[in-house]
Amino acid sequence: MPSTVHHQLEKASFSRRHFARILGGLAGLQYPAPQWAQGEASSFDFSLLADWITSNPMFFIRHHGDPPIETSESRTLSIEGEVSRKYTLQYEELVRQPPKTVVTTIECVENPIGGGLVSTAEWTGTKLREILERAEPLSSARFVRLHGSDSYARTVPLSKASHPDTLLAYRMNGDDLPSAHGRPLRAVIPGWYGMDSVKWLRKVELTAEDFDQDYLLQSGTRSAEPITAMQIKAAFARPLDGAVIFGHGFVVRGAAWAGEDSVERVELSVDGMRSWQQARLLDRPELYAWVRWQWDWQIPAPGSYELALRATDSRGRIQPLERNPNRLDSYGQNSCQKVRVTVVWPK
Amino acid sequence: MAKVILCVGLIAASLAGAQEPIQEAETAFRSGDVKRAAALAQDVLANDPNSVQAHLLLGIIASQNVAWVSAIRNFEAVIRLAPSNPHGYFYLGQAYLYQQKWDQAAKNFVLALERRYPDNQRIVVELAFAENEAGQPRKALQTLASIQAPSGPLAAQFYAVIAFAQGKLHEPSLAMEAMQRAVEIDAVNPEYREFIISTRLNMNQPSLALAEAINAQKCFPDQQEIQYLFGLAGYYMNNPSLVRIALRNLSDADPGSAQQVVLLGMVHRLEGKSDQATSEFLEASRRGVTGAHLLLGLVFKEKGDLAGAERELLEAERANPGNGQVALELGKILLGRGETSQAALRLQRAERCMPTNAAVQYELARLYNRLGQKQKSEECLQKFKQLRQTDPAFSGARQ
Repeated sequence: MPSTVHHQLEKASFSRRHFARILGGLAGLQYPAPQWAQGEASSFDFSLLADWITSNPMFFIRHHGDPPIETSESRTLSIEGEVSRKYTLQYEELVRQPPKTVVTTIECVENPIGGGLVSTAEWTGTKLREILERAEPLSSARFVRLHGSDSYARTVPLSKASHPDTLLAYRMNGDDLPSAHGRPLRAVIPGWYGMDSVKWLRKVELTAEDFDQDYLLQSGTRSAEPITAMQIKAAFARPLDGAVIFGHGFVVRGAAWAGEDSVERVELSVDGMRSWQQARLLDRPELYAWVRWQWDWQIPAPGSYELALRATDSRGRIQPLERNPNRLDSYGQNSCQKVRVTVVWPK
Repeated sequence: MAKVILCVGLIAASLAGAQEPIQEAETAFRSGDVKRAAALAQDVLANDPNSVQAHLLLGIIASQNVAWVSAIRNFEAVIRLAPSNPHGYFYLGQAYLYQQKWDQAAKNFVLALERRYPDNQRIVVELAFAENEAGQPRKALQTLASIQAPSGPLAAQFYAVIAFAQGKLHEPSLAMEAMQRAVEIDAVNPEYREFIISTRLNMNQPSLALAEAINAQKCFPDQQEIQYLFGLAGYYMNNPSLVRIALRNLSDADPGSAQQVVLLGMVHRLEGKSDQATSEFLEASRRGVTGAHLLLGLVFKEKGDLAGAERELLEAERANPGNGQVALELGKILLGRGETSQAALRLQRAERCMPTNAAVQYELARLYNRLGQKQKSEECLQKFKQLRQTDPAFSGARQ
């Protein structure tokens, strides 16, 4: 039963502040509704960013259909295509392989600037490389096509699939993989956009060709460059766009990630991107995983501010201030996030 | 500020024969040069101690500087010198309102209204606010009913005062309805959002309260009451992670706030660290957080220390007699001890405060059974069975 314990705490201050608001005239500011990309089942709420690892219930969910119903068949994995030795692996046999754990941030390729289609988890599974090697790939094999039981499939280069950090994951943050995240088995392609980390994995097919090229170039409206690794990108956790701040100082917080690299630096600007202040990284930068950062903003005066954010990775790649105007697709957005806030100092 | 300037303009327009120096003072005030405005108004008073405009302007400036003694002295001078002028009463009422002297505020607003204060809608809303805070919610609603719903920012305040009054009358659904309208008009007033979260909690809707709190803390990331309520909603949803986030946000906003101690106690309690929770709640109560008494009462009760629980709950009751949860917990203890008349007093109060709370009906059923009132007992039991279907306390949320 909820209590009204807070009432007695708030009541005294309420009237004073209410009256101050009457004099101050806060009305007229607009707080915009969040705009999420279409199609996701749920987004990570950046305002709730606290721990480095995103808990399973808070991890974003995005897929192309409903999670398939789990059957005994879905607990098998077939390895076929350009191999000498096709075989089928039972789930139970797979989990008996030596496990490997990788912490990686996964971002949906359609995650907008400041969007919550990104999260970080600790994935445990079997190295895909070991599964591939058992099948003895032919010299013609250059790609690996990953098939989910929801009929979704993606192709990644054999070199990436064979990377020692690429996993067939069956655990997420120490728990069995939740259904929405691909139970019983999913691919985890560290540092690459989430579209390649195929869920509900049923078949691993080695191929000579990249089947996804058509997908990437379809209608000529998308970038001709293959979309693979996640771009350097940073996001605000607080404040968010439209926030009203009452203090003379504010601890700005957020996260930054760099795909297959690590984050080197996060900077903020409050003067229209004329000057940049370096934020403090709260985590040791690692490959694949985001770092949380914070910056203590000493607010000089009440008014409207635009806070801009940019990150730089270990290779010196820096987030662009604006999106490349030649890009007609909506994929891999990583230009600087800007949030508008209003600072009010009640009398 | 805009309103004050507008009123000064109105005063200037309404008071014939204004002297040049006072006009200069008003111009300085309008341009934001408050210091010069005050100095000029003082000069006017030095030459003419009966200048109504100078007293009014000095009173407004003093109000802005939260110098209430000076403000009230000047507004009283306006009333003495120009008893038919409504502005002196209006501003005196506001000065009392700000100091939470509700009766005096209401009295002066009424006098201003009688003298046809030009911004009728504004003064009616403020009068109703004062009446409600003075413990007269019905009167407040009657006052508001005397005008049409205003437009613009005042409309939000109009609906907010309706919500406050309905809240005081234990009509949470009507209160919520009114406050939702206020938020639709003015989404950036943290107090409105606080009210909604509080009311959701009081209505036994912790998940809805949490959803509202999560949105509100995005909009007002350093607003302490919002963060505290966010933590409280997280607590009632048994989610220590969210309480920790609220705690961090509160700490970012004010590292020394006593509310943090309460939230830390809540985290400990959710994590089963009862001794640490008790210690934090004790610290919070030492620091004057009256809400900590209820939490201490619950912790002591869990430990089987009923005397300690009763002591803390009585303390909580003294601080806020209208708290339904306190009344329920006290009622349970008193009923357990066989003090049926005292228990009845508390449980019936709990029912008024929390009409949709299943546990209240259960305890009332026990009470009436003990009193031999079988039919009433059966009625409460039926209500309990009905309410528990939708009561989150019976589906995993924290009790």
